[in-house]
Amino acid sequence: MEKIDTPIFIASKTEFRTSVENIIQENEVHGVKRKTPGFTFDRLFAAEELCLDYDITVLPPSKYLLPTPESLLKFSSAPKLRVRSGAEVKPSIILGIHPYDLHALKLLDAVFIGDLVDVNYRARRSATAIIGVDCLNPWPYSFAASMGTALPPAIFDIWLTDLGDEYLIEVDSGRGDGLVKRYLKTRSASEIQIKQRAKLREDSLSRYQLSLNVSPREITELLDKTWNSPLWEELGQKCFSCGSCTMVCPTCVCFDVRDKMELNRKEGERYRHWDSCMFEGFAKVASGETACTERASICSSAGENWVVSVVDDVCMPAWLILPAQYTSITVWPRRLNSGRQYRTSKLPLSAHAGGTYPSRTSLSKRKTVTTPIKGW
Amino acid sequence: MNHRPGQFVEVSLFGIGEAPISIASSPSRDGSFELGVRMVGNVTRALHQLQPGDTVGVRGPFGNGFPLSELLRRDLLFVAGGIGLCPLRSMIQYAVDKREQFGKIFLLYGCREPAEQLFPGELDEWRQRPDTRVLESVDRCPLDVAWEGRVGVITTLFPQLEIDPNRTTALVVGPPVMYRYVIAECLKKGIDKNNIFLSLERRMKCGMGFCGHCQINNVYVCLDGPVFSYAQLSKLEETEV
Repeated sequence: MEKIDTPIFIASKTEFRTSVENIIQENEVHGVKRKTPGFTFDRLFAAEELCLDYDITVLPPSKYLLPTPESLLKFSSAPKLRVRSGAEVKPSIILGIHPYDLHALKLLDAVFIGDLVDVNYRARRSATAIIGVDCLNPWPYSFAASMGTALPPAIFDIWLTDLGDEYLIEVDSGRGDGLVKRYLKTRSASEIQIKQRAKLREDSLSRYQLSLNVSPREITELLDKTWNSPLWEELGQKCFSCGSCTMVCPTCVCFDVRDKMELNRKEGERYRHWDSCMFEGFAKVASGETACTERASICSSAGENWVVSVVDDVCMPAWLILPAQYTSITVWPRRLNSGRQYRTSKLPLSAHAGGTYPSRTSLSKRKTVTTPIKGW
Repeated sequence: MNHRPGQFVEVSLFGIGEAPISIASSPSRDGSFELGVRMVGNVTRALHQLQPGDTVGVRGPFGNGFPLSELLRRDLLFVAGGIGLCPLRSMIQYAVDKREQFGKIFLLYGCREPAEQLFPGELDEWRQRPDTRVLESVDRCPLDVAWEGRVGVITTLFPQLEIDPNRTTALVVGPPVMYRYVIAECLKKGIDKNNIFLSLERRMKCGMGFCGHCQINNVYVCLDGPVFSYAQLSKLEETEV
């Protein structure tokens, strides 16, 4: 992606709405829509569907880069075997991504466009323009500020900040510049407006009610040292192995590969679809042996595997709050304004960044586990 | 194929699926490669029904293979359980073909029954070589079958084994249940845990470290393995050894 000096523009909300309408007319745009309850990324057909002051979506936008199911190759067996590979990728725009989801995307980039390249992912990634927006009113259960994921990494094309009546628009790529020039009526932002964004961002950081008082790197170590902790047993007893936590996680990438044949038995397709290390048969080999049988073991390995392998340099999968919630050491809400800290052991956190709101009643009834972890 | 002994390939039957299969032949034998396939799942069942001239898809080779540079001039102790002889055969053939690069060769081979022994012709060849010692066991032997080897599990062969533990590297491939006991015997013989190598069977779907199926703690068996030293594996909580 061609980088440019980051020019910052201003557009009124009315102008912006008109621009979105024009963008939608000429492009495939996926944006945030209200969906009762909550919000979701979906194809936009009109500007009024777009909702940029959301708190969190049910599924992360990574579903567009790792769609499920996704065709890997198509084949026909008659008269001669022919195999055709490669994703059918159309240029598109994701509009309204939040900083934490963009951090997750950075992590996916590290996995799929690293030493080994997943050609489908790379094709989709390069065909997808990212327009993000600052999360100024965070979800009450978010702890992104303490993970360093509340502000966007510089891998976007365009970034928006809601200044009230206007959007501050930062452009960070040639593609973003092209979009702004083609669709947006803008003027350069003033120093005051840029300072206003800094102030808004700072204020938003103080609005996060929850935080983890460990750094992502420490969590790697924490999980490593707690492999044999009885906490995993307790967690395993409560876990249904439904895999939902991994489906909504923006950083989970596990997939299964399958073949399907057309009814004529001559043509078929190999495709991949989302899988989960929380599923019982995930590590099962053909002879029936499996590396993971106990749910406790699945829970602990699911946490550990992912973090230790790729997270070190990038960010933190949000759902790892799950193990943290069961320790007595890490989860604190912060009232930064008052400077006081409150223990939140009675307020378990939701297990992931993309989930639905847990009701207060169900939370207060839930048993709080405070078994200390040996060595921590 | 230009592979390393101990690597694997993904074998495809379009419309059925893909399965990881160890390469059973040495790269030192040019012109072809061989796969030993046990019929255990959908793909392998369909593979067994193929006729000569049918087409399959092959991706690979994948994985690290046996650490050839660490094996130079070492005595090699191969311990194969059942179908585990297939991946080991790639290394045994390699060592036999480049005999001057290695020390003594020992092969312990255990099966359930004499009829399940793989590569009987090649086993004969190895038995007859003066520089190679082959010890065999079966879990049980029908009364009407002639059997000169031992009846019992593979670990019962270890007392007959005379090795110099400082010169010996063990290469072990077999079912997961075998590993714990064979490792204990190797350690009892005085072989250092850095010189015991095992090949792990996992559900490698992509072979490229993406799909997550073969992950053990922080390693991918498809990239970092399938061959690991016992020293490496003993640091990983989530293994069978």
